[in-house]
Amino acid sequence: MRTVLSRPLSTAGPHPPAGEARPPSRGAAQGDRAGRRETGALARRLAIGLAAIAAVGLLPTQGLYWLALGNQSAIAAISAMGLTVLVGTAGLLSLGQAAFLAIGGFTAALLVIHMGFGFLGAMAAGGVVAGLAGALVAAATARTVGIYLAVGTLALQYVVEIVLSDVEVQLTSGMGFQMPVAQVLGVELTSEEDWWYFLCLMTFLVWFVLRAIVRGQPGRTWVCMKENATVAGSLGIPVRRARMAAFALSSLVAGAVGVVHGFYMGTVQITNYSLHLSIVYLTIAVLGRLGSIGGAIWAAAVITVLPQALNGFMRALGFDLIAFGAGLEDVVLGLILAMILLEAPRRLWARIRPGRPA
Amino acid sequence: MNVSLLVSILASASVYAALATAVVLVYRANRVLVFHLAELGVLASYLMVTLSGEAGWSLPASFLAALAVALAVSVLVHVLVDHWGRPFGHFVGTVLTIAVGGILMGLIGMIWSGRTVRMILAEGRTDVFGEPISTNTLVVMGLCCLATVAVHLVVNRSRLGISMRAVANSASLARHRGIQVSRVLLVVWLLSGALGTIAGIGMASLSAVAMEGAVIGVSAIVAAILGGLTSLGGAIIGSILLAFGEQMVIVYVDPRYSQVVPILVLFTILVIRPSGLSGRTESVVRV
Repeated sequence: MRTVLSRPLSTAGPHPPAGEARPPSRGAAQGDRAGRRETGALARRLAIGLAAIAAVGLLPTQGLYWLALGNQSAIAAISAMGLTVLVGTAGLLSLGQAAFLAIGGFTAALLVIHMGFGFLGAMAAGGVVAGLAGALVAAATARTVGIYLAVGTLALQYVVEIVLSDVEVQLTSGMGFQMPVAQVLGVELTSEEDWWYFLCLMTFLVWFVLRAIVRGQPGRTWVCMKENATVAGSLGIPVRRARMAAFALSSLVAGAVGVVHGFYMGTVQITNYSLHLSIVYLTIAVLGRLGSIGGAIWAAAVITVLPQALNGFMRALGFDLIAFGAGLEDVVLGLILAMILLEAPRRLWARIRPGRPA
Repeated sequence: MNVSLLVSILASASVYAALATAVVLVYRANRVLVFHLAELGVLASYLMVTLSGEAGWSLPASFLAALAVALAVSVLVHVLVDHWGRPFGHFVGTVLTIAVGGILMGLIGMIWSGRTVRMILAEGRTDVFGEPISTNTLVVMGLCCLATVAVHLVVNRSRLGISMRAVANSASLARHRGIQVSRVLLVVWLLSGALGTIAGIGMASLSAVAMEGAVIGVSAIVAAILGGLTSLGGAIIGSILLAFGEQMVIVYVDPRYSQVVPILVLFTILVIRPSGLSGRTESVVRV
């Protein structure tokens, strides 16, 4: 009866009794897959790890174009990892992840240009400010259910765009803040390759830390809160605080990525952090399976490369899609989001090969 | 307060009211918060301006064509959310409407590539209490009010409205009483699509046909929340309050900051009274 035991609610209490049998998966969020994991889990993990190391090592040999795509994927992956914890594990829908990137980026720009902060210092400051903003949004919407949170974060996205574009116009006459070269412990990040290694390291660290948090007590609290907030409250879980913590963590990650993004691009401009970007991150989180932190990494790569691949494919067929610009990308993103939400691939598979689990 | 200011408040209030009514209608029926209605309205306004301008159709004919397209999209969304998406709950349904909004915006961008066009429904000026007011504004106001009132009458006075309210109350109970829930939901989506079309065309006619027109979606949702999200009357009152606040900021502060008003209103209402201004609290589960 392991599958029953590993259902999220039954193991997600804040303090499971010492004698209770725990499923081998340890992960409360990934509980229902415990049974499948037992066989060949180690081999699979080993394979994924080796593939990841190979990808990190081999990409720099593929030229600047792919390296730039890799860097963009890594930035998207880190933001989406933060989002997938919030939406998937804690069940709080956010449409404002890009707003937190913007808050982090602008904080860093002001600190670096006017107060002489370094890269890592700015990253910490940007993360903290964005995290506080996230906690504030969570506090403001503390009395309502998840659906209001979607509206609240969407509103935040709009208000951040309006206010920060005003800041940009006032301080840089709309040119955007020019960022200096990033320096990490004395090493300057100048080429795409430097950034690639730094971003891979950051992706790994964020993945590791988030995974530890989600598998630990906070993650269990969030899963319980997601399943039923009332039950969670009656079990003694401080729901409001847990909610604020989930939001703060997710936006802290986003803020830090915003700083990295600003340094990587060389400029901080509000047009880089539109609602479109928030939807991109949401699509990545959904594609990688909501709540799966590792899933966000490969999904980010897919979503980043997809528009390019689509363009190349259509050009090979004789169509030029550049004319359609961002419109086509929006359509494809929307279709992916809708299809994954409706589990279209699984349903299709069930129709092609009835009786076989996908 | 002068007449022209009052009229512009009422005009944007009537646009918001039409859209907020649509939001409330759908939310009551299946607990899905719709995010794509403003985008649908933008699509309809682009269609209408293209047909009436370049293709040379008359205004009513191009309006009907735009409405037909918007209704077809609404049927698709109904199938997507209520049939395919039903097993996954209203959370997924809400995100599905966001996805549809993104697809619509992408299509609009691909076809019209962000063009901004003027669309006037009626030329000239009309005297209202001795002050000349643009006839276009009055026509928009009339259309949106008419659509909103018509939907209110349908919900409150017709047999169909009674079944809508039954579905809103409890879908399974309604099904047991012989109401065809799926058909009622389809009607709800069609009505909301029509309201979204009229509101979108109205907004486009008041300002311009542009992709930025999709911003009114947030205002409408805020107006609906202000009214309690399940109350049709509350949605109208919320719309008037919101339009009043926005116009005050436009006149006395800075037009650019008018979009901040709905957001400030939203945060205030979420902190102080999440159930909205009306007394109905059935849908808001407090944590």
